Amino acid sequence: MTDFISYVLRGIPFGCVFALVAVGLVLTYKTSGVFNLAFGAQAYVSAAVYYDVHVRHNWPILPAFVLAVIVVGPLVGLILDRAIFRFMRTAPHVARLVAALGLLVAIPQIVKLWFGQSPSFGVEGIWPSSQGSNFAVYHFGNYALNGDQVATLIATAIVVIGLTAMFRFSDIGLRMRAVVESSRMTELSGINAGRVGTFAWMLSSLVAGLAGVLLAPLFAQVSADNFTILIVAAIAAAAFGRLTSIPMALLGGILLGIAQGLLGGYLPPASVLAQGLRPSLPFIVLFALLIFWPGLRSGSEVSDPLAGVDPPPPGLAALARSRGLTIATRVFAVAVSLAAIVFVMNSKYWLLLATQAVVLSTIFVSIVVITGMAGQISLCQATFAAIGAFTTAQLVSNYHVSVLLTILAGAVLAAIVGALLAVPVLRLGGIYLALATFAFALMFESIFVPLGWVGGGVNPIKVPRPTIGPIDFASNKSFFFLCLGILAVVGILVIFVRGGTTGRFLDALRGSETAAQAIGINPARARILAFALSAGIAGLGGGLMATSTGFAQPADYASFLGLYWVVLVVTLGSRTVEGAIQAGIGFVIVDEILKRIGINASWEPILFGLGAITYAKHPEGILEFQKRQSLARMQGWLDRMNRKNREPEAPGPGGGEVAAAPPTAPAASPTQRVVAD
Amino acid sequence: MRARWVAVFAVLAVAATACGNSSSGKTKKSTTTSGGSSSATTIKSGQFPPVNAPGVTPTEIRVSGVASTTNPLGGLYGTAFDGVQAYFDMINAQGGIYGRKLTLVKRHDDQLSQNKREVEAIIDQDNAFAVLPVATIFSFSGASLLAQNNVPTFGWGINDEWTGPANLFGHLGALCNGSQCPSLLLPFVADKLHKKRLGVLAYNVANSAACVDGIKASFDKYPTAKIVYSTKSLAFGVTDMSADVKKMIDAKVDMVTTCMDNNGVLTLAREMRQQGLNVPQYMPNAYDHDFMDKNSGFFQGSVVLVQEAPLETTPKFKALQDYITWMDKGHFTKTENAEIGWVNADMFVTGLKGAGPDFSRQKVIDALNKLTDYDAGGMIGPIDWTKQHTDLHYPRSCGAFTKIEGKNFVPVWGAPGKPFTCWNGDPATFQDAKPYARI
Repeated sequence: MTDFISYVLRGIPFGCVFALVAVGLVLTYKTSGVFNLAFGAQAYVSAAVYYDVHVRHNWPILPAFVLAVIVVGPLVGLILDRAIFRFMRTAPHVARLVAALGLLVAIPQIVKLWFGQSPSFGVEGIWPSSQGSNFAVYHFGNYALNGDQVATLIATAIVVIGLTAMFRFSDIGLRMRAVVESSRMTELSGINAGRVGTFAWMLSSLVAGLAGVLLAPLFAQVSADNFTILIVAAIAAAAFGRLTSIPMALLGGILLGIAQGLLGGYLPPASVLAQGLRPSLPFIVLFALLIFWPGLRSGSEVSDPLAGVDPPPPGLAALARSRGLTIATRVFAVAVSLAAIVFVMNSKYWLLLATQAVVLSTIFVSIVVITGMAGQISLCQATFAAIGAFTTAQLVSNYHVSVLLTILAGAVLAAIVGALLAVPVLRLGGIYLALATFAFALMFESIFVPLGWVGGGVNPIKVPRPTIGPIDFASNKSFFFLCLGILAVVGILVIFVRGGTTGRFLDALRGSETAAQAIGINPARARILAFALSAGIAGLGGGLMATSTGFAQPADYASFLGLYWVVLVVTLGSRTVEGAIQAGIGFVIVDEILKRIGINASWEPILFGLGAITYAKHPEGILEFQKRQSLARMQGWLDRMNRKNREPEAPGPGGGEVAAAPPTAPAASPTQRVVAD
Repeated sequence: MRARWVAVFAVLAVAATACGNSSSGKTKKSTTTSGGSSSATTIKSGQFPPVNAPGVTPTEIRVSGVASTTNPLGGLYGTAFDGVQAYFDMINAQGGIYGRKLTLVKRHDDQLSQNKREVEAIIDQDNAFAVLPVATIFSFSGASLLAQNNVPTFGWGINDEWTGPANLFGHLGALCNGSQCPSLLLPFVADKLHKKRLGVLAYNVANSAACVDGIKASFDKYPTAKIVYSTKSLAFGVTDMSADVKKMIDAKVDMVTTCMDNNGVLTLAREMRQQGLNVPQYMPNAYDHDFMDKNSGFFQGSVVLVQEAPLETTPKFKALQDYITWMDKGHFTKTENAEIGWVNADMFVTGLKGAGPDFSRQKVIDALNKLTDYDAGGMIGPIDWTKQHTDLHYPRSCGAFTKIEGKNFVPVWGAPGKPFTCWNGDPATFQDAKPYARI
């Protein structure tokens, strides 16, 4: 019993760390409607500023704290609101989540450009002590706390009490919630939604800054990655509070800390169970809460009652062009592709880049299926790719099966896992589905990847290049064409699915699930099919990547890398296969261009991360939007040319027939289907 | 971003490597020791035969390198370039090699996981004779390309890919991790500190777990102490070690070692201090002056393994003094990776000298692979290159140790000017390992 109490008490300070971040997440969600995955990145900004002025420039604690938390924290919130989120108040939750994902990618890189790559050891907390905040130890009976823990406990209590009181007893708390519910309805009541929204972002960013400065001393050095890892663990605590209750989020965080302590205390330390369960507890809890916790299960996202007045998203650009222009663009695309292939054949390095781009494009097509067609955000596509890669590697390594067969086996296994995962998570929808898939990715990474029979143990498993009968794809050139062929097959398959029954069902479900059900569409069946297809394609791409690099190494399929993939594809265009290919090329080529012109590589994630912010305005992707604009301009030019050519045939003034109206592109109807890629 | 969660794996690769065993220090009849400043060849270019090899012109020998300069760990792996540059500056100041200047033409950044791509860029576009340094923290995935193209390659030998090909020269020789390679180093430290009850902590990642297995195997073979607590279940990042420390107190642990990065080591040290577990840590990855300057209060009396000659060695032997002098001249930061870069460059120059004025890639490789006692002038423990490409069961038998006193790394258990404590071969028992050789 003494041990039990001891483990419980020791878990509480650690739980408060989760709680502080979870409270910040809930606050942001409650006051802005954004599930802010970039909260950790915001915390990192203040932590970096605090470190810079306090440690590098020897400012005393108080002015450093004021600058980092009181000034920079709200300033970051103000910038985010004014530049991004005020334009997204009526956007769907998923669009806001994508914008937050983009910021998660971009903000740390922006800070690093200023902060530099040099190590930042010796983070000192705000607790005043001559020994240093984390060196000072205070004893309470048999237990002890260091200065940083005391500061975190006190700050968490103040934040929770203050915010709870604000929401319960003040007008501004009520107004913030009303703006989230419907900014347009709120404005009809005479409330300045813009001002309230800005205040909400400044407040939540202040809490992020406070969390950043308080929690930075937990780590050996200031690093954005530490905050990102921390926030993932804290999501479980936020989910415990149904993303809306601050006291419950506090409780969730503390319970999580206690559970960690008890597992550490009672599980045999060298056991396999401890090895799997201890590090993955937050992710298991998050996944379980999302599936079973009442309130979250129902997918009760707040929606704007006036959202129905918003126009539907525009159709694909390819649907609105004339036959002549379609042929012209395809001829142009083929010519450019052939020229590119001839170019890469003359350089081993460019051939490697091109192969990398083709393999990535194959994986990115899976995002087209789940996001572009099914309208869902899955954050575990890298995990499906990993399943494909590890299956390929293990079968080749242990059973000496043909590489191509193992790649197909990996795709099938990934599809089965995808379908099984889809059954519980698809009913969640929106951000909850995204979070559940992310929790699944983290569980897989934490529990399965370390196992030798999955991830291969210490050394990545080697995967040779495939052979088909007498054809050996060991040479880089032949392998490139194999990958290109597989991408073409996958792309055509997806285009056919989109044009077929499943595609139409998914389209209808994206428009109105209720209406679709009314005409007999089974949403679960269509979406599970889409999820399985998407997972299978990702698995196929993962297997290809393993044989391309020669290894199945976990780092190539890290869950956080998967987030970047999603950001990249939705930024450039998630509705077409063409968009996926452009994303694959972009992933490789932008980095190369930046290197060649001597610009820091950090700019690539910054560009794509900030690009994701446009998702709300252009859910079809920036390139698809630009394509539509270009095609419209070109079509207009062609129409004018046609008109001009016909004008001389028209009779002059004073007689004859009226000239025929110029041909125009047929308007695209929602149900019209053409091959768009 | 690409390298974000990669850090979890990457840092453990380093931790596991340092915990494991690697190259040989077996001292045999020496065929040569090392290159160095005094013997650089300073003759005009016209006096040497023309060389028809990639990256060699009448006036220069071009090399290119790749390191994880951009990484989420904050480690200064890119400083390996500075070590190479400082060594080249020294040689070029003496007239170069065979009338040619040594030129580091490009510093590639593999950002942790783009190693193969950058290696392909070096081979295809840099026109380099050799590749150095390679300081990649996760996977040396470009190794096979370098092996296929027979490019002399020198680097930080912490990746398994260094083992095998005859043209890859890691700074420690062959690499061996895990239970198949018991090491004398940690049992030696426990014996020296008179510690008998050991706690071992690791992350739940394959490399880290293998490191724990290696430590267990070491104490099975050389039982100077007993492992009374071990865990491989800690999460990377923020992890609660309060229960682990409590259990170690209950198990009366008197020394702790980890297979973790500096983040984990510091978290553990804080928790130990908080719960009053005042025992030393053995730290194989903590020779970082900046880190220790900020956190030394938690590590008083702890022991840090250094893979190269510690800067604190006194008196300073010639190669160490040259390193300090030329790093200072270049205004470079002296880090462990910079020192490794310096050793890489010395190894390369030694190979060039051994190959002769009509050198080729193959001749450089062959010249190095004849050396039985290469130690870069005392900067590293000796390597027998006739065996060290392939002999996995050839345990590392040299280590330089320092103890944390105040904010300083104080060399221990070596002799004046000889920081390495070495063992001859692979002794069957700990008693057989005595007496220790000092180099």
